Amino acid sequence: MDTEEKTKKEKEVKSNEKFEPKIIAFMCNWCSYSGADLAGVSRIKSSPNIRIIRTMCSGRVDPSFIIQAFQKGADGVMVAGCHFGDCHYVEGNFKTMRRIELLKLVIKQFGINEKRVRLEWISASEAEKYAKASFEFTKQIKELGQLRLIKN
Amino acid sequence: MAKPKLALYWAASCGGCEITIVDTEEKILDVADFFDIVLWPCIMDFKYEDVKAIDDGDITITLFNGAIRNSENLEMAKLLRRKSKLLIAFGSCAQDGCIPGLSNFYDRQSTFDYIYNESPSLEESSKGVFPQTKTKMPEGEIDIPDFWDTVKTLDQVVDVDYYIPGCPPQSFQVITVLLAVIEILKNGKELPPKGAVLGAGEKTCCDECPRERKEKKIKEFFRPHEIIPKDDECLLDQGILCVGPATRSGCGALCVQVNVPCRGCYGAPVNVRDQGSKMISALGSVIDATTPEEVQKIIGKIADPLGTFYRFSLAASTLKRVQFSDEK
Amino acid sequence: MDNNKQKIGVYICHCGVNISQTVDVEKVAETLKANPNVEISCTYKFMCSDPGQKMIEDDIQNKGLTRVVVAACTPHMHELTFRNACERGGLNRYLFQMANIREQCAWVHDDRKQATDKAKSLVNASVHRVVLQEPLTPMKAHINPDTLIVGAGIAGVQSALEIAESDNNVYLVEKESTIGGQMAKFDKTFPTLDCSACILTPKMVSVSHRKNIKLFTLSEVEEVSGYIGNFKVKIKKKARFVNDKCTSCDECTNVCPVHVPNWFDEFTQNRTAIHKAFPQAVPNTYVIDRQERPPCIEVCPIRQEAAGYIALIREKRFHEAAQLIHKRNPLAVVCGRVCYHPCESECNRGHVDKPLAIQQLKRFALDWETEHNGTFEPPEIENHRSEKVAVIGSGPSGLTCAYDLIIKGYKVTVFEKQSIPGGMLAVGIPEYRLPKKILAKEINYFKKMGIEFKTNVALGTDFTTDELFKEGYSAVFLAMGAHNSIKLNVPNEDTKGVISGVEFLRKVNIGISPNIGNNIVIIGGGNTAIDAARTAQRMGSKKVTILYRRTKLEMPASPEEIADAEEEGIHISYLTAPSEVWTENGKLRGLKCIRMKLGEPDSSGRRRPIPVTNSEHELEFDTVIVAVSQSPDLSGLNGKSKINIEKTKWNTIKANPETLQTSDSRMFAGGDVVLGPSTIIESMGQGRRAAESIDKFINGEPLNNYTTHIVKSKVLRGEDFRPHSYAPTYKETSKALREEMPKIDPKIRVKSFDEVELGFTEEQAVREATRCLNCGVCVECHECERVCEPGAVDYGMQDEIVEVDVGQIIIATGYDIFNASKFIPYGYGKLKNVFNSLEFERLLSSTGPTGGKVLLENGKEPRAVAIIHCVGSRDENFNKYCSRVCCMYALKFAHLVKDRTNAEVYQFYIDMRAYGKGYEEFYKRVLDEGVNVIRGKVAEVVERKADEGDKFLAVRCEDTLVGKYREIPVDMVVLCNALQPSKTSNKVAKIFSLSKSPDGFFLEKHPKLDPFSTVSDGIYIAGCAQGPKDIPDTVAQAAGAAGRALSLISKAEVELDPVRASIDEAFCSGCRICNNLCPYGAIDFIEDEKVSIVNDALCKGCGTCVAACPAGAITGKGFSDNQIYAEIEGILEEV
Repeated sequence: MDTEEKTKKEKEVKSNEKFEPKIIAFMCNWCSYSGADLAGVSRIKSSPNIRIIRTMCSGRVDPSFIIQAFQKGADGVMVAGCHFGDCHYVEGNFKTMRRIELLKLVIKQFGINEKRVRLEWISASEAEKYAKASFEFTKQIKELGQLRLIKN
Repeated sequence: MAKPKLALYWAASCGGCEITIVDTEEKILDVADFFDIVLWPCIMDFKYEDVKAIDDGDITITLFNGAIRNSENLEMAKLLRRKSKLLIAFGSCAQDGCIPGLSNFYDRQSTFDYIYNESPSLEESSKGVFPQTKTKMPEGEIDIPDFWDTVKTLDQVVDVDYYIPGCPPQSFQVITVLLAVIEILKNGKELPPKGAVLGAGEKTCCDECPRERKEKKIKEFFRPHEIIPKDDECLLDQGILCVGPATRSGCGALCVQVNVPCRGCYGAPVNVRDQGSKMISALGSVIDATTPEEVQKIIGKIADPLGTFYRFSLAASTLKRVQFSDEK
Repeated sequence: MDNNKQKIGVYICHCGVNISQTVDVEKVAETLKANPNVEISCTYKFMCSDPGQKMIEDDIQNKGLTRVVVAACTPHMHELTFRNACERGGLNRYLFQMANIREQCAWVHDDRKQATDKAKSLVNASVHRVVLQEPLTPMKAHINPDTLIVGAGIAGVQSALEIAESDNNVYLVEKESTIGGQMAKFDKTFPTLDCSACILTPKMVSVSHRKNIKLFTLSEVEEVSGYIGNFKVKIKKKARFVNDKCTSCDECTNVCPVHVPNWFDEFTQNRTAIHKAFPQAVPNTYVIDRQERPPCIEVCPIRQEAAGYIALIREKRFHEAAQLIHKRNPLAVVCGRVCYHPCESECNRGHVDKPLAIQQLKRFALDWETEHNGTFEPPEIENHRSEKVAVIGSGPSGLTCAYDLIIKGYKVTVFEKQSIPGGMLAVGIPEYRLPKKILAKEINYFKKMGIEFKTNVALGTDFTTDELFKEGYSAVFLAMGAHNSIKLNVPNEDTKGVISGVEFLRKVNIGISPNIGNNIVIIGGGNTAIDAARTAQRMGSKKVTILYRRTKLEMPASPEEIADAEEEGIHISYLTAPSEVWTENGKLRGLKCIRMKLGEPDSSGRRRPIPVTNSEHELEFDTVIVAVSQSPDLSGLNGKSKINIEKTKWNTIKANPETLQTSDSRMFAGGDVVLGPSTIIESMGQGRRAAESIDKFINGEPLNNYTTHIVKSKVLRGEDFRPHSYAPTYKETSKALREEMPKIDPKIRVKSFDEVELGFTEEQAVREATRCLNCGVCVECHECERVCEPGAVDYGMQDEIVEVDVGQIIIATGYDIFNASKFIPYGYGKLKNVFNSLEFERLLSSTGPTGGKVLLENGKEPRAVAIIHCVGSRDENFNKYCSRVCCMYALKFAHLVKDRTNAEVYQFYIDMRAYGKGYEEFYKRVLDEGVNVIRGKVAEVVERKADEGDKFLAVRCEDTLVGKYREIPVDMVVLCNALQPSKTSNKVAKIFSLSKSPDGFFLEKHPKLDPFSTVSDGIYIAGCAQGPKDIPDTVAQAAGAAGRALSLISKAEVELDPVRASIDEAFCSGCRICNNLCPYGAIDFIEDEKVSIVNDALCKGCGTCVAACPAGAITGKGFSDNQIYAEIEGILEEV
């Protein structure tokens, strides 16, 4: 609880200065995470607002994580996996896609803009794609503004 | 020696939990002659003063049902917490917010606007008459409790010792819990660990469901009125959205046995934080589609997803309520 | 935050300056100290260095750390390093967490503050997470010492030999028919200019000699399952159709009539259908290119090799053609004239213009043989047998059955009711279509083979089957045909002058001239009706009319016959049916008819005729011939013989369609007596099948595994609507007119029974045969089979799936070259004498199209040759990367051209890259040889005409050194195509779950430190599959990959990350949500306990089921919900 209150206060302070969104990106170990690594190796700049959490497969990502992230103060959540057909675990990414589609319906009803959840397919070779997506998403979240949850 | 004291209170609730107790039939007598029932608004009149008068911690057990949605609920919750050794969140409202919790889709103003202004059942004359917390009367100023924007669960406002889930909790469960407690108190046995969920199982509704389940592949969702389900096959397998898989066992799978899908009143299973999103994760996994378009087509048939997945647990969920800040 | 107190050691790495220049590492370390669980938080220059690791070990021991976090590079790089360090320090290796602040922070951000903030939150996340991590024990897996190598170019071959050297087994899989890959196509290799074959072929040969290398050519890996040390592999082995008896004597290619471009020669020269890619190919065995079975063959009930004899006719090898035909078809000459030829209706040429005149070609070949006094020698009868078989009926099915049985060695007697053998062939088909002397010749052939014929004996009256069995016949084949004319069932049908078609034809055929009138009507639309009509006319009738109740479209008679009849002046009145035979005081006057119209299609698919009301009318005739249909005459089964075998409701004998056995196991039946009135070739098919059944029956074998052909309903079309992969599509194929069969003029022919069709001339036949598209390349002429002395050709070979277990896999699938026709300005594929690199290699090769001479298409030597570098590489539009080998092989080309011609050579390059050992020297040497090098990318190549009129090519470019535009006249242009990922690479990537780098080549684990491994443990890469490289580099990497595999093998056991899903049965209620989520089938549902469980060995730890479990009963070791929640919290917490 107390951390929640804390982040809340934090946010009020922050909101005055220039808004730097907090974005969590869940990335599968084989494609997307490696793609992000490649971006590093190739020194392709990406958005510093993105914080990556590695899972073995995008299929490990439970919508509960995303909701938790929002509750804990994330302004946007990206989920990235292998392209369809390239999944290291054959078809985990299909499950991810379906869950996210369903989650988006609920997120909308929760009054949270569904644009705050973004699904990306990034292969281990698509460093540019990752970088591009990271900036685009950051831009989008900046436009949407900070996610302020009603606390009472 | 004096009998141990038992209190039953209802906050924002429908009274169903009371009925459960009554449903225990003659067994209630055992409870009655073991305990001295000091408070039970549904059955007998009481005054705050009487409760306040009780020494702190003198009530052995309080079964508190109903959610916390106004200042009076809060006051009573705090009061009873103080007076009770064991405060039990009794029923889904107290534990998860239950149906009252669904008003977390709205806030006070929109709720009032509807009830006191838009509701079709209002007479013209009484439209737009809103309750005030304070009202001047010839006899002086009277006040009514302050109505909140957000419905809360009992443990969001006071410390809770145990939970008895269900909407309502099944009376057989309730009586077993009560008799067990009586046993413990008589022979000074050890109480279950704090925060334990009593009168329920550790598995999910499916465990008690007699229907035969297959590997899941959902091609289309149906609402109960749209098809006549086979009565021996898993409802979910038949495309009826049953949240049993993400609901704690304990009710004896009552609904599903009469062709009604489980709606989740027994709340989230042991290791699950957020009943709704967990069900989303499970369901999303087994939808039989390979493109977003196909998925949207299939899930498009789910009426009010949020209300469906969080019907009983919205107030207790991770996000607790619907947001308005982000709408634009 | 968390109440279980930990002592965490946090180590922030500077990575030299890699991290510290963008991330304020000290500050990060400082911030983390705030966390109550953090015991020490410090930074170090190189955590991965020995002192760095030692630090961790010491702190674990001295400060009693319970958890360790290192913030440095990506875990893909050093997670293992630090886990080992923890273990050495005495801490469970899984109580360690790594924060990636280099690849995903320092290297990708500029703003120091932002980067530092990010680093803080990433480290904080790891600290939160590590608290909840539990000690795990790695799983052990045994290593299978066998290795799979995919691709047998120089890389695959090298790896295979390295591993085989250590006495471990290798499965080497190659999709082509020979190993050697691209290198085998080269003439010389740079810079040493030693001949490619000389250094490669010895290796290839030793592969074939190595006992512990199992070679799979023409094979592809279809499926891989399992994990490091324990892979299960499914290999599809395509049939070669030549077994290892092959001695490579090359006789077969001399007789093969089919010629297609050879892939090995980059299609610069042709090869035969049976071939060997090149003389030194390994395995040293020929292969038949059989891409699909030609439809004309597949659709024939006796599987006559039409395509085969057509190809032979095209080659003017008429004798072989005739022999091929007759080998399978004892009634060949008959079929050449009166077969219903389903082959023509299925002929793929029909997609281009008109089907081939297959029947006429057949007739031609056979007639040619007879005219040239060729004879058909009956095949050798291996083992004569004592058993006797009786064949009842001497029609097509009876004769075929008898023929096959006599070859099998049985004694065969054919019983015929009529005075002459031949069944319908003899009594049904008129002379002008099938001359009696021809049939007689065929029958003689049967007699010559020893088949005994008994004529004028009818079953039931003259003999019975019981008697036959008493006489010691082991089996009977019933083939009495269908000789009963079906009645019209209209009033007065028995009036004198109303006769049946079959009866009429039979009389004429056996020489009894029936008296018929001058105004004849034939009722019916089948061949019998047409035959009757044309015969009647030849008998002298003035007016011959055919009544048919449907239209020409539905008419069952063959179109040619109808056309001929109409030519001969026979009137066919369609949509007319008789309602009654019109008589006047008992005498025939004609027919009362009614008009018809077509309704819905009936069961036969033909539109059902419906009477038109008030359309009754009368037509005068003096003879009515009824030829609507025939049915078998089964009276013979009754009579005195009383065979009670089952019949169908159509009054045919009931026989099992597979075995043709009747309800009496000793008796088999086929032809019209089973099918009802059908075609000659169908009946023959049944006769053949019956013979096989009877043989099996007599040998007491079960009636299955037949070798005789049965026509499948659907016949294959060419792939992508091409007859075979080297041919143009049907619509691209140029049209050619079908030869017309010469016939006697209608006016003359109606006067006699002379054969109407005269047959093709040689020229016609060859022209017509040339229209054949060689569907499926091999056309089954069996010539190779005939000339192969060791008997190595085996048409019966089938594709097979082989399953092998291996412990490690090396992928060496090589490259393909850039398709230069995409680079339009260079005119590849359009302009003559513009070659791509591999074509030129073949041109230079002694086994190539020009035997190693550098020649233009017109056979002349070029006066000047342009060699253009970087075609498709170092090019934004195609491939950004440099193909690395082009500069050098371009110089090699230059040298060889200089060496073998007097031509001027121009090199057009962008940058000259000569980075290898001896390369620069080679460059120098070639320059000294007087090769012109022009720096600048060529703009375009155009065709020019010299004053003398002969064409040449002009190469236009900017010479960037002198900075001016130049146009250089040459005769030949050689393009240096980029090396690209092999066409198969996508498929391979999927099957072995490999990742690709942006250039499309397979991604190595680390670009510098680990170019051999891939993200999939136990799977290694070598050669150009990983990126363009020259032969030395390829060999080096191949040996390296082999080394990796070998070190794994010698370990005999590996540790696997215990990252696995596990189900706590106490919480599982068996909702079965998870059951079909697992692609590896690791989740089982236990029915009686109603719970699901995870099989550790199969689980790969993706965590999909963990996320899905609505009961929270499944946890993911190493990635538990709580660990991830903690990570989220840690990232978002303000620090």
